[in-house]
Amino acid sequence: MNKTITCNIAGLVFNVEEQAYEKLNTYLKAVKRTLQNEEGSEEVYADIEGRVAEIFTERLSSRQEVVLEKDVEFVIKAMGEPKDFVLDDEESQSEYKEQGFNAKFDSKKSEKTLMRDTDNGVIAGVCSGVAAYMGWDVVFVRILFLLALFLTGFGIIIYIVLWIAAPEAKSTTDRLRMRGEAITLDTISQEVKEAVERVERYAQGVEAKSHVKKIKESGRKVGSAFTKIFGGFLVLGAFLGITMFLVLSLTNNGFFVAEDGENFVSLYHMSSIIFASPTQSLMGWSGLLLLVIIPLLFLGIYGIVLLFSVKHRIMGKVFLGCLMFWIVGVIFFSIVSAQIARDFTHHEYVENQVLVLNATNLKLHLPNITEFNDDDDYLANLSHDGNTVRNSFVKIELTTSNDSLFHVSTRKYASGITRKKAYRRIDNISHNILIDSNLVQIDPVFEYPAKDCIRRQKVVVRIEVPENGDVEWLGEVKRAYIISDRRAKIDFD
Amino acid sequence: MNIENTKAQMRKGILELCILAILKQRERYPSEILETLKDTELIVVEGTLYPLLTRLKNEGLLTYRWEESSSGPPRKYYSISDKGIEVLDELKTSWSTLADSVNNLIK
Repeated sequence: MNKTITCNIAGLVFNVEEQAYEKLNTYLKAVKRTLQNEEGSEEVYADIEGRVAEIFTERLSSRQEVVLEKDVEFVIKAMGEPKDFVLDDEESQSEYKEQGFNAKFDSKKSEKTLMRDTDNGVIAGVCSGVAAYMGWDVVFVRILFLLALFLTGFGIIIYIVLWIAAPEAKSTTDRLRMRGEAITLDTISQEVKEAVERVERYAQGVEAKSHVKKIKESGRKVGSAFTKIFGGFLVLGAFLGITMFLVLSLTNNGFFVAEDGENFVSLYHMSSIIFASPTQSLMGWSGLLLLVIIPLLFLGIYGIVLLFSVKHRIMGKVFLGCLMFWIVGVIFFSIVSAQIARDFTHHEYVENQVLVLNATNLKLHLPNITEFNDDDDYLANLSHDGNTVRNSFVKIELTTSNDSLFHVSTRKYASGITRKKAYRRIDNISHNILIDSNLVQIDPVFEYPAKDCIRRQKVVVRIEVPENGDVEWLGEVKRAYIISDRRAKIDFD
Repeated sequence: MNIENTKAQMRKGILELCILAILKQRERYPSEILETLKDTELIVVEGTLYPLLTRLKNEGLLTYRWEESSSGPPRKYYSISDKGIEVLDELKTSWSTLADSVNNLIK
């Protein structure tokens, strides 16, 4: 039992068997394409269709009602290959001809054109089109694109550019040009056979499998095994990627080293002192999640498609959907990043004179230094409980005094979108210095409210030492605290 | 050199002359013209004929009329015009000259 297609040829209606229809359609399209640069092409084409209709009528009236493949073959044999339709002489001066249109038919290969092979493609047929153009294996091209996507993110731009730039190979002649094959009757019928096979492949599982198909399938099995392994890897990779990302960002195994240097703090925990408002937090998080998870999700779906031989066609829609969400992610993330970046526009400080002392000797002490994580890392010395941020990394600057006195002052730094906002953050920084005659106790920790967020808050204690003065450290001191020391000699433990 | 291609080129060159000659006998539709031409081995497939007829017609060497057909769509019956007859005579002369000299050459 075969499907028939009703079609209209030169005003007459014919019932054509599906395979015969494919062949005839391909043939007529090839003829039309060949004629397109000839003079009076439409008239000639109409004449040809008329003749085809006439041949069909003659053959049908005597035998059967449906046009079969052999009738189409008869027509093609009688009418000739597309190249026979071209008049070879100097009179027709179409540009196409001058570029060697005839030479194209005579030589083995025609000029190659980069086109998208949507019949064999996953998303828009870019990879399979490139593969056909370069004569490479399509799996190789896809892996290249995925690598480009992962290593640089540039792959997606190339893909979209090619998607837009390269035309879709719609007709059989397009498909031949895509591969640079000569457009002759042989190659066309070969191409038509392949097209029919593709149709069969889509119909798989619906129809009972014929013997021929079984033989064809065993040949494809080797290729499909590789595809399945590749698909499996993708699914696994995507799953692991998503899990890892979620674990790293949400649980306490995360990105940032906490104060004690042993536990880790999750991105989620830190996010409350990065994002300034709940809206920003929501946008930032959804942006980040979309940004990271969507590409992984897409690869996972692609893996499933390969693994279970689902129809490739759905990938186009999946890709578009994913791309949309991903772009939303990019936008969210960019907006939030820009907002946060603007919060760093103005970096201000406020200086407070703590002590002016006329003495020969100054004693300095850093109590409770144990909290310090011996690591010159801003985040490593940062912790917060939701209300207060503790930074256990006060900086100390030792320098020469302009007069004969000791001067101790603190500078508190912070950033903001305006000067005013920066100063407000500076006001919120609390840091203690205890003074007992010539003993200065500097708290190595300073605090600020969590709602202020991390905006380059910094406390620098500046100690100016006169020419003949001496500085003595009581207890433990670590090199990391001292950002400059032009004056005092310190023994570190 | 592709010998098949050269032969095809030669055939195509002479075709116009032959078509004009055939149509001078009486008006015909393309399939009939083809039947006659097939005997001369000048033409192998019908496809070549249609562009040629259209061109000759556009040049004013041929005219045609539609006629209803019992088997299929209406047919175009081509006949030669006065201008066509003039061209035919001219082509005939040059063909005889050409054929004679070529025959002498390749003898």
